[in-house]
This record gives sequence, C-alpha cells and structure tokens, in this order.
Amino acid sequence: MKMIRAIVRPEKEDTVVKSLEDAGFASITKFDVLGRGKQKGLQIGNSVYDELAKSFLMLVVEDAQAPRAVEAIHAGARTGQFGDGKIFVTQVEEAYTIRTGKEGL
Amino acid sequence: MRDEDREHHWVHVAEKSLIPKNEGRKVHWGDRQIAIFHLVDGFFAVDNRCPHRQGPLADGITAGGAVFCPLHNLKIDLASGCAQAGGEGKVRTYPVRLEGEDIYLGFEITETRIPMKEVMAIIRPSQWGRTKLKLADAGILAFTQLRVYGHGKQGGLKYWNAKKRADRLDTGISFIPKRLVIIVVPETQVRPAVNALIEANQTGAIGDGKIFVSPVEEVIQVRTGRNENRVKEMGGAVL
Repeated sequence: MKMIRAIVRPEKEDTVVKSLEDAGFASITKFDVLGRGKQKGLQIGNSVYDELAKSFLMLVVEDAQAPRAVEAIHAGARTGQFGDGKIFVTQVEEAYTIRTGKEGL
Repeated sequence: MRDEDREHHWVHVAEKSLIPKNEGRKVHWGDRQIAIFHLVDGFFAVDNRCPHRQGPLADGITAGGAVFCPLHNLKIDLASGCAQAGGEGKVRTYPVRLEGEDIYLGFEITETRIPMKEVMAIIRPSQWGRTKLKLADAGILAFTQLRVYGHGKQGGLKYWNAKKRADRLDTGISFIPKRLVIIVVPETQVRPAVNALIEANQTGAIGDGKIFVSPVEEVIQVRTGRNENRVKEMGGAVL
C-alpha cells in the first residue's frame, strides 16, 4: 500500500476531494497546516508571509492505484502558479480496520 | 543493450558537405568535443579525446574503419570505439543519423533517482521560530508545520501532591501542546536537517521532542507535475 500526502491550496481542497472521489478514492483525512516552499513564502510590498495556510490531505491506497490517485490530485490542485503544493508518496507496510480488526484497506 | 533500444535525443550537429571523405572534423556540443568521420561505410562519431593522452582524434588519419591518434598513433576502431593497436582504451561512440544533408547525433537520455527522506519532528512550540531560522541556515527553506497535542513516555505532566511533595498524583495534563514539523529533503540533506533541529531544540530537559526519519518514494511538484526525485540527463547535461 502507498500513503499519498498532498499539500494543496486550501481553496483547491474541494476540487481535489471531488476529483479523488470521481477517480474512486472516497477515504481521505485532511488537516489544516502552515508552511512554505523553497520560495520562502510570499512577499507583497514590505509584508512577508513566510508561513502560508495550506490543506494537508492524506490517503492510503493499494500500490497499483497510486499513480491514478496522484493524477487525480494533480488535476484538482493545479493552477500553474507557484504554491500549488507537493505530493509525497510513501510506503505503508500494514493497515488495519479498527472496527473489524482485519488487516488491509 | 543496443544503441537503437535506448531512449535518445537527436541533435543536429553538422552538414555532410563540411566533412571531406576519409577525414574527421570536430564539433562542439555543450562542453564536449565530438569527432565526426566520413568514411566509405558512412559517418561515425566518437569523443574527440584519445583515451591514451587526450589527443584530438578528429585530426588523425583514417584507414579501413579506424583512426590513428595524431599524438601517439593509437589505432581506434570507429564503430566500437575500442583501441585496436598501439595501446589500450575505449572512447565513447555516438549513434549517427543522416537526414538529407544533415548529420544528427544521438545523446542517450538517462534517468537517475534521488533518494528522498521525510524528517518529522515534534518540538516545543516556543522553539519554532528558532528552528525555522536554523533550518534556513542549513539551506532547508521548505517546511510544513502544525499544532499538535501529545505526550512522550512520561505520560505528560503530572501534578504533585500538595501535602507530600514527593508524591506524584495520577492526574495531570496528559496532552501537552507541541509543534509538528515536516520537511522532505534529499538523503544527503538529512544530516544537516537533523543537526539543525537538535541544535535549535535541545534544552536538555524532558519534553524537547523527537525526530523521525522515513523514506519517501515519490515527490511531485503540483504546479508542473514533475517528479523531483528523478533527474533526466542527456549525455551528461541535465534536462
């Protein structure tokens, strides 16, 4: 299994979730985070915003589905401007459903 | 693997008429010099540096599919790039494609993967400002952070018994506010990142936090869709 974590624009959160749903990925966990990329945040005039509000979306999918999920996030989150975010894919060794105690997604 | 099987980028480097029969000419591509030879069997391209003493092969004399280095007469087969007589060694060869008058050389496209790591740290909220500066000093500009609550193996803060100072009560504050910092860096940056985090957060008292390092398989920039953990190179130049 793969864990896919995406840091996206908060205003794009809905479209990403919709795009994931349409691609068949219903389960998702999200939290609000602060952060910046290698541009060190934003500078508008004399004001520096070095920590920008972002949405952190997290889902775990089967190995074979990972590229499709990444594609769906990319399609939903992209504006072409700096600050669109990053997607990280990591390995998940085991997963359990707490209600049943069974292993697997 | 044969040359034709690999992914190549074809670059126009010269015209046929510029290279007289049975002679070689040098062309430049990037910081590289390449010698192109016009022989009876067609055109051949090799690096313009003899493996022996870096002699300019393009100035050498050709004979029967080979060239003799002008410096020390090393004989190099142009099809394979291998030395045949006068010494040992091998020069890099390039596939040649002809289209009308134009000569194209094929540069191999290779993909290297950079191992990426996630460094996750749980620190005191009050140290966050310092941590950000220390990370920036170490060249790590990008981060994600959020407010979290948790406790370590001490089980959080426990109240003291007001009457008997030595007694710790079972009740207390089990969830202590912390800051969770996530950075994703190439493997080579993990040490500097961890050192910066420790330097900024070590007070020596219980509750300084933890740092976790784990592998990340893919890092994708949403704006471009580019995989940042893969670098495509063409004949030694980054694409």
